[in-house]
Amino acid sequence: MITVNGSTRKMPESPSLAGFLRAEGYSLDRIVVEINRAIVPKKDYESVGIKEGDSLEILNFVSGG
Amino acid sequence: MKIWLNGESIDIPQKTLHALRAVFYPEAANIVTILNGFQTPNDAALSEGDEIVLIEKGTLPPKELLERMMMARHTPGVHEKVKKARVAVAGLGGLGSNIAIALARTGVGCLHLVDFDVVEPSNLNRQHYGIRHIGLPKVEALKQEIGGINPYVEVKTDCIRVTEENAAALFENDEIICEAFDNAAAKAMLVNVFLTRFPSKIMVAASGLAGYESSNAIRTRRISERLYLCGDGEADARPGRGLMAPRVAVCAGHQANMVLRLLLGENGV
Repeated sequence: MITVNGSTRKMPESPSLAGFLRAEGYSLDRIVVEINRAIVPKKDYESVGIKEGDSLEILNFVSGG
Repeated sequence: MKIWLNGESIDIPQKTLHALRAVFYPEAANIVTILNGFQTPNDAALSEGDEIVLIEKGTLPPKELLERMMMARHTPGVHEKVKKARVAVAGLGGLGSNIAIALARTGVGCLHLVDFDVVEPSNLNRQHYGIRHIGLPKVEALKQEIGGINPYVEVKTDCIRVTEENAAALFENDEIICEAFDNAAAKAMLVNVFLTRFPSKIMVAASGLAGYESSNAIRTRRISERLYLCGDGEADARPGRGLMAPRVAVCAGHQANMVLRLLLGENGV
């Protein structure tokens, strides 16, 4: 199991962070991602894997200012 | 007893506000009387250390008194603290221009304004600019406005587009940074750079403030120790949902007040 924005979820089939984010419908250029409270640099989205027990915080920005 | 009158410590025999006022202004009708940040027509007993400001309406005070009088309605102690602060505002649109003006009125010592754009007519429905500013770089227009409101604020400007490459160097000397961009990708970029590169700075960002949905959906959240996020998180600007002054100003107010709270040592939302 993993935690995403406070909710418990099943571990995704593929551990790829980028794959998970895309499958969830996020635009990768509009988000900020922390895994276990550590920021994931944008350049690492493709290489980072999600592990059992990880806690993800995904902050999605919308336009307007 | 010792009190502060218009910023100067003086020893007085008078025991009440009106007795003190009568010494300086026997005709009180035209005098604004402020006791410890509160404007009152009533008399009150004075205590040691009270801060009293007496302002003659319709007269421009001497320069050395102007700042004290401008800050007379502040909660006591606030001005001295914010005066020492430096805050950056990244993006000077509806959010940024209103944040900067609020912080200038609050007397934040140094404001660092960053924006690449010029003022154009569609900005005027929500941003702190006027017809006379059209065509001027926003950093210049806002610097002029701040100078006309609180000339005691030091304003530093950078007329430049913030990128992943220059962001870290641009905001190197700022303690607190307000993210006030319009574009979602630019917002995410700045927050990402900030969280990756600045272990000790604080960012107050915004997301979700378009349209005319309820004001009460806009709130301030503490995402992590160093990141605050204001807005409803959802209402994006898109075809069919515009950006209007009231709701944009509500969100800018959230950001500016969070900055003020941080400067005064309050880190809760």
